[in-house]
Amino acid sequence: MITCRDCGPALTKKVISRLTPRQKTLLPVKPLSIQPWLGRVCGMLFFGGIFVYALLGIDSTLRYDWQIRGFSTLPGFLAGFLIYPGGPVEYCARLLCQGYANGYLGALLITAQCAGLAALTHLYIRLLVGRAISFVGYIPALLAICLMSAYDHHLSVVLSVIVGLLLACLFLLAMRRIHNGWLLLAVFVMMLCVGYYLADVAIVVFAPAAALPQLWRHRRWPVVSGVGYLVLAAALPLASQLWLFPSLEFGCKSWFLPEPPEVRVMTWRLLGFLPVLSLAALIYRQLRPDKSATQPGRHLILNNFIPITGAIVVMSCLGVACYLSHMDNAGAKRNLMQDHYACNEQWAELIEFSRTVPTEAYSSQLCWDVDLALCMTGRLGDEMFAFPQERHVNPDDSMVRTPANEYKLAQTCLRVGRANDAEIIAQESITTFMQYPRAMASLAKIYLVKDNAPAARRYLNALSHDLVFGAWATNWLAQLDGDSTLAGNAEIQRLRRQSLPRRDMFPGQGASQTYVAFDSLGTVEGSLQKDPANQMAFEYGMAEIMLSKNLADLIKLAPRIKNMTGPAYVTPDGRRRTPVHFQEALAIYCDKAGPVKIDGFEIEPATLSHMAEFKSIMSTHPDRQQAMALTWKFRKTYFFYNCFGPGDYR
Amino acid sequence: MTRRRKLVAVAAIGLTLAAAIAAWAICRAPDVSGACDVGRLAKIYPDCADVTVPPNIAPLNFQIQEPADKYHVAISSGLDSDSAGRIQIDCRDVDIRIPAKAWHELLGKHQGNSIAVDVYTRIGQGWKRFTRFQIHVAPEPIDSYAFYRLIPPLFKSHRQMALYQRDLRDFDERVMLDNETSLDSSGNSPAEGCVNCHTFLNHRTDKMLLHVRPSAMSSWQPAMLLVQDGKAKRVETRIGKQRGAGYTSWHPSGELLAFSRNILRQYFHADSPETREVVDDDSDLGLYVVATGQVVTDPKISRPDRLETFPTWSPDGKWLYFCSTAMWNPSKEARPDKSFHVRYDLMRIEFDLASRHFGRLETVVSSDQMGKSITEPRISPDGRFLMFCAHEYGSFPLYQNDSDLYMVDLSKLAGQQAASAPTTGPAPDSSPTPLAVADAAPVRLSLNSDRSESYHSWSSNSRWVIFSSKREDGLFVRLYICHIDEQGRCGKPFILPQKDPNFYSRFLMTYNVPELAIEPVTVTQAELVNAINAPSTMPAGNYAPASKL
Repeated sequence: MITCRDCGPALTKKVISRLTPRQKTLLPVKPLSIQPWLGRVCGMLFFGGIFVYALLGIDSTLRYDWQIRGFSTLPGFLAGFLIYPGGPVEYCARLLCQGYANGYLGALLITAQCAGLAALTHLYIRLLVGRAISFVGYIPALLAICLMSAYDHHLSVVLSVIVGLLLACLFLLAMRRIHNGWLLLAVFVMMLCVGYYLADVAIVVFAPAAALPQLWRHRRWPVVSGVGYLVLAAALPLASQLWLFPSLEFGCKSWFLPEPPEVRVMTWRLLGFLPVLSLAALIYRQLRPDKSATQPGRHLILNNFIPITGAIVVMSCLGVACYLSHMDNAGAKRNLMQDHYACNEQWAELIEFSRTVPTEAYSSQLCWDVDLALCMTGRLGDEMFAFPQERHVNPDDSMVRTPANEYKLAQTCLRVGRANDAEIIAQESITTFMQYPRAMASLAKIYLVKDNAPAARRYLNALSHDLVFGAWATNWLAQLDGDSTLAGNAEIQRLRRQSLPRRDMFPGQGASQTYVAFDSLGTVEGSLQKDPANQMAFEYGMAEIMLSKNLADLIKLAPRIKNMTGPAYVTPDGRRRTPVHFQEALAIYCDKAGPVKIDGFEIEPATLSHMAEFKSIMSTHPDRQQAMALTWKFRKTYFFYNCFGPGDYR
Repeated sequence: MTRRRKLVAVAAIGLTLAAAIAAWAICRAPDVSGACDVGRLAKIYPDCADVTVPPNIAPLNFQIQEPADKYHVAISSGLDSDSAGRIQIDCRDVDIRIPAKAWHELLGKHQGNSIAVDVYTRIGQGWKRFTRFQIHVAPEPIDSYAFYRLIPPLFKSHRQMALYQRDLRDFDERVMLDNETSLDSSGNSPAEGCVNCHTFLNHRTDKMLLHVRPSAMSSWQPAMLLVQDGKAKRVETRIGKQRGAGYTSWHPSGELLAFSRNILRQYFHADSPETREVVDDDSDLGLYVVATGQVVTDPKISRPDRLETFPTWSPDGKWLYFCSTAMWNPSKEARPDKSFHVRYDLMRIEFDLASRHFGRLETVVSSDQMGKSITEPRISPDGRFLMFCAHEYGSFPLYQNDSDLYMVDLSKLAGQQAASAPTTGPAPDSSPTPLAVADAAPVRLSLNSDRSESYHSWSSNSRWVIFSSKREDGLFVRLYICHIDEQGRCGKPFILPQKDPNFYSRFLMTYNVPELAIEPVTVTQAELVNAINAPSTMPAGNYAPASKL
C-alpha cells in the first residue's frame, strides 16, 4: 500500500554507469521510506491487525444491531437520497452497513475503509510533495478505527473523507496540467459542487486540501487563489442551505456538531487531519526541496534501522489505538452485546455474559434482560436471585428508549400474550426510529398474532426489500400465501391462545403506562384466565410479587402452579416439583401467616431447614451488616433478597 | 460508384432494414385473437373494475396478480370498430403502467361513457383472455388537487407528520408542511408537533386555515395559521388557558370560522382488534371573526350540559350543522369505558350573518333514531346532500371498525325550515326541535366496507367525494374517490391512483384528513414556518357572546 517506490523511471545499471557524476546526482532517489518488501509486510500486518481488531474488538454485528437508518431496495428509496447534497454517500453508507450484519464481511468492510483512506492519503502526499512519505497513510486509518470503535453512524463520515481525498488527488493532478488560474478555479468549483452533492461534508476535506497548494503556489495573490477557494467552499453549503435546501435535515450544523459529543471530537480529528497534513507536507517540501543530496546506500545501518523502527512504531500505534478505543468504548460494547444476545434470543449467552458484568455496570435493563432469559430457559423460579434484581420484573420509566430496548419490550409483551401492548411499543418504535427493520419484523408478527394478515403483509412486503431481513419476510409471505390463517404455525397459534380476554382500557399519556403491567395482579390473572398454561405470565407474576415483597398476593397466584408444565415444574422422572424460589417465598409467608395448603405447591424439607438456619442467624444478630455477612451463603435465595434486597449480591 | 462504396451502401441498407424489422417485432402488438377465454375477471390490484372515474384523473395503474410469462392489456372504447385512442400495453412484468397522455385522451373522448379493459396473459405459447371489465367515465371532473396528511399509524408520538398537496391529474405530490424538516432560521422544527386541520374556503386555497401544535420539546408555539391572499399569518384562538380551535369550518362568506374546542384524551385497549381509542371529555363551539380576530360564542352552541363538536356550515351560510351529545363526564374523571354508550346527535342551528344571531336549534338526525353515534358531517356545495359517519359510540370514527358513511338528502328537509320562524334571542335552556325526517332518513352508502370509513370531503361540483377507508387491512387509511350522482347514488369507489401499482401493498404511512381544492396552495413551506414563529398579527380573542358583536 505504501511502498517505497519513487516516481522516477527505472534505469538499468548499464545506463547509470554511463552517466557523469553530476548527472548521477540528478537521478531519482529512493525516498525516506522503508524497503519495498518491508513496506508490504508492514502494510499487511497493519491491515491484518485492523481486520482482527474489527472482527474481535469492534464486532460489526453489534454495529448493525444499533443502526436505525435502514436500507431497502424498494422503488423510490434510492431516489430519496439523490435529491439532497450528501444523499448519495448516505445511501452508500446504508448499503454497506448491511454487510455489518455478518462479522467477517463487516470486518472486511472496516479494513477496506481504512485501506482506502491510507491509500488515498499516500497518493495525495506523493502528488503534493513529489515523493512518498512513509507511514503518513496509516494516520487516517488509525483515526478512522478510533471512530469506528464508537459504534456510531461513522460510515458516511469515512466515505465522505474518502470522496474528499479522491477529489483532492484529482485536483492536484489537474494543477499539474492546467496553468491558467481561472480555468483551475473553474475546475475547483466543479469539483466542489460534485463533492458537495455526493458527500456534503467531503468539501471540509477537499477544499483545504486543494486550496493550500494553491495558496502556497500563489503566495503573493492569496485572495484570488487559495483564500478565494476557501471562501467559495464556505459559501456553497451556506447558500445551498439558505436557498436550495432550507429543510435539509442533515445540514451544515450536523457536520460541525455531530452527536454525541465524544464522536464529534473523533469525527473532527478525521476531517481535520488532511488540511493539517497538507500544510505540514508543504512546509516539509519547502524546507527540503531536493532530497537528492542524500544518496541511498551510503548509511547502511540507518537505511535498515529507520524502516524497521518505523514499522514497529506503526504497529505499536495500531495496538495502542485499538487498546484505547476498546477501553473507551467498553461500556457501549457491553450494552450492545447485551442487546444483541437478547434481540437474537441467545439466552444462554446472555446469562453467561451477565456474570462478567461488574456491579457498577449492571444496569436495570440488564436485570430485566437476564430475568427474561431465565424465564425463557425455564430457570426463573430457581435461579433469579443468583443475579442482581431490581424492584420490578418489568421495565419502568427509567428504561432508555433505544430501538433495541423497544424491540425487546415489544417481544416480551407479545410472548406473554399482550399483543396490543406489543403493538403500541413497536409502532412507537417505528414512529421514532423510522423504518427500523427489527421493529417492522416485530410488527409483522404482532399483526399475524392479532389475525390481521393484510396488515402483516404490508410490513412483510416492505421488509422483503431489506437485504438482511428479506429472506425472513419472504418466508412468512410464502406461509401466508399457503394459509392466511397460519393454522399450522404452532407459535402463532400459541400466542393467539394467550392474548388477553378482557376489554380493558388504559390511558395513553406517559411512556410507562404502555409498558406491560405485571405489577397488576389482575392483568396477570387475566392472562392466565385466557390461557391457564401461560407460563411466562405466571412466572413474571410470581417474580413481581417476590420482588415487591408483597407476599399476600402470592396466595392468590400460587394455585395456578398446577397448570404449569416443563422441566421447571416436572422432573425427568415425571414427578411434579416447585421451583425453589417459589418454595422459599411461600415458606416465608407461611412462617408469618400460618400454614397454607396449595394444591400442586410443595415446600421441600431442605427449603424449610434453610429458612430455619437463616432465621436463626437473623434473630441472633440484630446488626444488619453482620447478619448479612453471616448469611452470605444464602445470598442466592429469596430469604436473603427478602431481608436485604434489592441489590447485587454475587 | 466504387466497389467499396457499393458494399458500404448495401451494408447500410441491410442494417437499416434489420433495425426496422427488429423494431417492428418489438413494438407490434401480440396476436391475441386466438386467446382462450378464462371466464372470470383477472385478479388485479388495486381493484379498478367497474369503478367510476372523473375524466381528469391520473392513470389507474394496476398490477395483474395472475402468474404468466407475458401480459397484454388493451384499454379501448370496447367497440371493435372504434380503434382510435386504443391503449395497448405489453410487458413481462405484472405492473401495468398506463401512458398518461393516451389515458387522458381516451377519458376525454369517452366522458359520460365507459371504457373497456381487456386483460390477456400468456403462459408458454397460449394466450388467455380474462373477462372484460369496464371503467365508467363520469361527465363531471373532480377538483384538481387533494390535500392530506401522511403519518405513521399514530399511537403516541407525532413524528414523521407532513401535509401534502397532490395533483389528481397526475402523480405529482408536494410537501406543504413537514413537522421534521420544516426548520426555522435557527434550525429548529416543531419536534414531534402535530400539523393538521387544514380547512379551505369554498375549495379555493387563497383563504385557508392550518393548525400547528408543536411538542413540549419544541421552541415553537402552538399556532393557527390563516392564509389570506397568498400570505400566511398567525392568529390566536386560545383564550387564557382554554384550548385553541380544533375542528374548523369556514362560513361561505369567508368572514367567520366556526370551530370546536375539544378536550380529547387517548386510551388504549388491552385487547381489541383496534388498540387505540380517543375520548372527548368536553367540547364547545365558537366562532372566529376573521376581520377582527375575535373569538365569540353563544350559549346555544356551548351548553355546559352538552358536548358540541364537528361544526360545518351549510353552503348558504344560514345553518351551522354540528354534532352534540349530553355531557357524560362532568367530573372529567370517569373511566373511559363509560364513553362506550355516548352517542352524538346531528344538530343544526339557524344563523343570521348580518345580525350574527343564532336562532332555532334543530335535531336533524338523532342518535336514538340511528342507533349509532353521528360524527363528521359535511354538506355538498350544492346544499343537497349531507354526508356523515355513523358508528357504535363516541366521536372518533377512525378507530371504529363499524364506522360507515351515511347520507341525508337535505332537499327533503327544506320544507321543515319554514315550519317555525327563527328566534332571535339566546335561549340556553330551549330544547332542540326534532325534525320529521321520515322522507329524509339517512341512507347507508354503497361505498362502505366492513372496516372503518371516516373523514370525507366533497368536490366543488358536488359530484365527487374523497374519503378515508381502512378497508384494505384495518390499520392503514387509504383515500378513495367516489362519484355521487344527482340522485345521491354512489359509483364504485377507486383508490387514489399511484404511479407504482404496488405502492399501497408496502406503503407504511397512513392518509389523514383529505380535502379537495380546485387550485394548488401557493404559500411555501418557508413562509408557513416564518408565520408560525411570527407574533400573532391579530388581537387576542375576548370570548364575547356573539350577540355583542
